[in-house]
Amino acid sequence: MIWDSILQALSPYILIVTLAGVSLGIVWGAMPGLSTTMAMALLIGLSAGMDQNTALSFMLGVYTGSVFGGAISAVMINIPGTPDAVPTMIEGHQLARRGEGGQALGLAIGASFIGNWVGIILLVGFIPLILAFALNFKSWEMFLLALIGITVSGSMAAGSLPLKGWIAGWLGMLAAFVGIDSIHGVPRFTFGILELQDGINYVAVLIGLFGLAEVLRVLPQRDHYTIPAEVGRVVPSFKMLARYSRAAVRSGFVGTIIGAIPGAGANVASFLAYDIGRRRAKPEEKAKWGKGSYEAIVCAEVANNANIGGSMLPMLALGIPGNAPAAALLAALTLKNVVVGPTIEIDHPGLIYFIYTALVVANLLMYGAAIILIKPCVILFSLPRGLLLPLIIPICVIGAYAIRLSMFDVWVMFASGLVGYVLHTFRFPTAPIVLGVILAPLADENFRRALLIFEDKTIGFVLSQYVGTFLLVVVAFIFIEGILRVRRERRDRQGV
Amino acid sequence: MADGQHFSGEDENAGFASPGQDLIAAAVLALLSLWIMIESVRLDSPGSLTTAPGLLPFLTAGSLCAMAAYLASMAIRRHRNRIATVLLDEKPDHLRTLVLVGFIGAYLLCIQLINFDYTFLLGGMRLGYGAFEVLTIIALTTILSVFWRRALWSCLAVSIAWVTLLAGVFRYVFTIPLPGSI
Repeated sequence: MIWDSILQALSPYILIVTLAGVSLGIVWGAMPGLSTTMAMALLIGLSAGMDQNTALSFMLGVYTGSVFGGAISAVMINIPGTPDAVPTMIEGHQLARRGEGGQALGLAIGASFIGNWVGIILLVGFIPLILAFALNFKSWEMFLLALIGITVSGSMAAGSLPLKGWIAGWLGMLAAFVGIDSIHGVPRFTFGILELQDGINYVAVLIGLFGLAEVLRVLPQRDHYTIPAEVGRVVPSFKMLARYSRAAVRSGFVGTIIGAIPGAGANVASFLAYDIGRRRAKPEEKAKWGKGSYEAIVCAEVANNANIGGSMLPMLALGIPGNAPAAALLAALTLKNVVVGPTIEIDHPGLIYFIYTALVVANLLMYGAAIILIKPCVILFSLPRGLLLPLIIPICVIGAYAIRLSMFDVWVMFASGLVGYVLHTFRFPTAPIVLGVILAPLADENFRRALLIFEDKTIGFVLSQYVGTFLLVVVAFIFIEGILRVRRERRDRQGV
Repeated sequence: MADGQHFSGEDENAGFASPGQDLIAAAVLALLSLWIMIESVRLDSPGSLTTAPGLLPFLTAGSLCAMAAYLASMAIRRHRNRIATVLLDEKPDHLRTLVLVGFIGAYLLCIQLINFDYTFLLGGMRLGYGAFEVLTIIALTTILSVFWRRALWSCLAVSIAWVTLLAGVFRYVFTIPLPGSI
């Protein structure tokens, strides 16, 4: 079974599809304003026409490629392709201005390659432990776990004001309640509209929030970015990487752990690893920080790529995506009737090994494709946003339509795009909405089942479910910590 | 952080808006949550209260209402204390956004209402060109001419090339039907 899965991931067709995904991901990630989540959300539609393994390899390729792609524009034109590439931009562009852009990008490729390896190794190492633990989760624990996913996502997305993150998560939950109730078969909030009985499709929501909303936000702006300078020779130097091996390993752990926390994605990972790296750097290296430090690039790039493996950990083991791109991957899997979670090894034997191999393959292909694609990417930077962004609109339409061949889903995508734009204007984060939409059905079903089990039981019995009580304390802690953070922020501002 | 860069969360845009905006958001959220709470109570409940279909929606909407109230109270306090809002670098142009929304809405409406498919044989292969392709080319050319601001023929050429490529991939490589096709 294990070998079958590994060999499947290594078949020539899958390798070509993975390479296509990686290449598309690199180019997409390199384009300023086009994020990893947007790439993943829009390409779900394309993966709908593929079989399960092909779709999975393609999406993992896109994920791996686009996380690295952000570094190219960050170094070359001082605009991060993806938000997590900001630390790479701070350091890399300084180096590019000194004529060391090729070397900086080479180091970024090597660091991304190592980061992916750290993430994959930790994923392979920890998944059996989490799966063994998660198999003991009952309805009460699953409900609390879903609630933790949404609240943590809210806290992590809106750092200074977690309240807005929670509100976004709650809005996602409310959207997911629309449709036929899973326990009694009662229509909820359908208002006699037939299409609403199937519920609101979260892939359409995802495409609207991260695809169309971004087009609506960026396309009407009148500013332009400059055309890039020469790249120079791109040389991935392992000698230099070896010099920063301690920073690389540390950042890999930071990236993977952050990735495993719902809502905390590559942005948090790269900034945190960058900040820790600065504090731990030797004085002579610390002096270079902010002025073009190679060690800083290693910290940021290792962390944001290790984040990929980390984000897969809760998604595969618990069915809770670690971040928005992982949510898109989960959506692609759901389209193929793959239900991930504690019983993944029983329901889909061999799938986990296929995913491990696909991640390794995508990483190896990313290394090669990155070196080849850097120069074509730099040429593409000269394309104005006024040309690039309108081309995304038909992809959004086809992507939303392809899920169930329904125009209703296209309208859901359009409405989600508008909601995403309005929420952005009012400074609400959008990622928790996706977590809310995905996790609400899990929370709803398990909450009512748990209440049914606890009927006629004392509060002492409920509290004697130790794992559940622990998770309840975690939920309370997240809320209290968030409220304290808001107060601290308010005090700081009053002091200004 | 170096260079004065500050990071506070996964979404850098998220945070306090102006007190007025936060107050409007809180009012809308409160109204929405109250409406959902009423609708949740009105839902059929075949079993006991613990398995009622409206239970979690009611609790979710209730807690959302409390959060909206907290957001409103913070906005009022910030307004009274005249605490400045951190402004973003972005310069949104809501009027141009509205024009874009209008274009996209009209385009989707046309796809919904107009359905046709023209098929022809080319080298023994049956190929199709339907309402989706035609309507998307028109919509894309219009949007490009407004936002890219190049000659109409350039916009039309880009639209035809892009839509034909995209439709071809979905229709013939992944065999996914397109909207507006019969």
